[in-house]
Amino acid sequence: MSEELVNKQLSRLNGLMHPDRTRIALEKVDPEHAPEKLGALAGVGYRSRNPDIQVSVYVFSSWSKHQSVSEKLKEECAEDGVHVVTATNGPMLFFGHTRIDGPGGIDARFALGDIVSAFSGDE
Amino acid sequence: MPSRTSKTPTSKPRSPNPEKAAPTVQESMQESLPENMTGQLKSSQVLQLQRLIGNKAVGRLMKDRTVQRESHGKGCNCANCSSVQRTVDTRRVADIRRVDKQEADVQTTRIQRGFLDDVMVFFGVKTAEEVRQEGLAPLDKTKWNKTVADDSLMKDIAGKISVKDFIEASQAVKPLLKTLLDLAFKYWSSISLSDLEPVLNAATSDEKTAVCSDEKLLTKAEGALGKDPYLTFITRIGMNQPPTTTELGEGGKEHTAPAKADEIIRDKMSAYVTEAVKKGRKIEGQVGIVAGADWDRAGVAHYGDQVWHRATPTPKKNAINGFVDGSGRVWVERNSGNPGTVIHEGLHKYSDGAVLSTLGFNTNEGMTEYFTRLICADLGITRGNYTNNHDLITALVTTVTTKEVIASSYFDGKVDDLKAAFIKYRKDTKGNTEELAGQIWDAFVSNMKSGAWAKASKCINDDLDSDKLAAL
Repeated sequence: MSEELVNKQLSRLNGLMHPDRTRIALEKVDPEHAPEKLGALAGVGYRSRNPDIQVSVYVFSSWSKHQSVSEKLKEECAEDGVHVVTATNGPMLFFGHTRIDGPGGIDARFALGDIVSAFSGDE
Repeated sequence: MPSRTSKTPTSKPRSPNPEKAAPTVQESMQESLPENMTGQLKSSQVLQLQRLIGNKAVGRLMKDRTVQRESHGKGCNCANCSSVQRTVDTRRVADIRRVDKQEADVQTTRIQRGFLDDVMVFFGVKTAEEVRQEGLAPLDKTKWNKTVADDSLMKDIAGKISVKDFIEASQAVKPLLKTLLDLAFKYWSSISLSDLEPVLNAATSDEKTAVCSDEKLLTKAEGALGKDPYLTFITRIGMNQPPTTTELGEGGKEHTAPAKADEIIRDKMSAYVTEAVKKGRKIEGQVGIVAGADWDRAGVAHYGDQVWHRATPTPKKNAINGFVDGSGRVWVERNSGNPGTVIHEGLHKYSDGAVLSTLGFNTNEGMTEYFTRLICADLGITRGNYTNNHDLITALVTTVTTKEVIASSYFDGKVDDLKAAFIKYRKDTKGNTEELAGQIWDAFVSNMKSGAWAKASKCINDDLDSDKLAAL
């Protein structure tokens, strides 16, 4: 995939992750994993402090890379009380997690749901 | 576009290219002109005359002699005129036999050009099928190939018969869809989608794919059909552009083809979509998986230029993977979404619509996504779309009622059954009165509509009395 197309996806990602769509303010940070370690071409991280939610989005060269990377990331994060979500949108892979075992767990779960829904795009 | 009923007989010379072995008109007349041409002639006899002695000659004949038109004029298409009756004087026929050599040669050429000419000249009142039924020479591959290769002849034909008749006539040789559309869009400037319906319906998927990949042809199609019909045309030919990646042809790692989506939905949802299938619901033929200009055309047509390109904070085109437009056409962007996108949109097509109209957008999307993910889980497709909507419908299925009740409300419109199940659940497991249970249902619907997911969840899971309900 050309640099131009990667940039196009990242530009699209900016729109998808706008606070008006995610319904929560997200701070841009580094992705949890370096993109090259996952075989991705690019990556962007997002963070919410309250509730505490961490999200990484990676851009791949094709849709075929998603599944194996998604399973690997889920396994790494598997822990009681942690809610992990992965999703795809075109060549982009979403990986997000939050704790749902505290008093604000239900809110954190639905907040992460809003974020992943915004990323996934309207249909 | 010229009207079929406004045609005039033609005797205009064409570029001479007679087949050498063909008989002259005079020879043909000797062989086939009936001895007795007196009395009333049927249309087939008139046509035979026309073919033998030429249009001009028949025109003179018709002008000079008695023609029983009564109340029916030239071009009349009524049942009585299906066999137009004309009186011809034998002596006049004999005069006409002395047609000069030049016109004879021209007419010989014309006769050899095939029955498309016959359609053109038959006073403009006969369809190709009617002419064919009257036993005229059928179109064959040779005549077809000669005709369509002759630019001037094609222009002449386009000026004299409708594209619909041309397409109908062409079916005698069944040309490829791309070939036929190339000709139609080249020689006819204004074409209705209904003119193309028969060939679009009959075309194979390979033929449609060939059309989809011909950008020049698609440009011509837009020009000839007009903007909105062109969009329908795109869906009718099943435009399915693969994603732009470095690894093409990955198989299963791209948008699901609409026909495949129908197959999957009908298989995986077989217990629920019987009525929907009986009603003819499907997604094939209604989807365009597109990119670039076509994606913009469809988006602007549905959302308007401002919303599509410039809405803040996010232009619609950057936030959406697919949508159903006001005409029921489904549009999917080739590099967006996932292989479940077409299945999701397909399920919308199978749904009754009552959930959307009574319970609102969010619940409707939640049910669509619930069934989408049931299907996608089997196919190894991970989706994050409408996650909260999906999770709350899942809560209804696991806590309140059954998958079957959700399915009958979604696919068959039995929303009251879902409401009844919800009220029964609240009464039986939470001890609510009928009245309070009804109020909690209303609150659930309302919170779903506004996207207040946590409150909607509490309507399902929490012990609620009137005060707690009011405090939600």
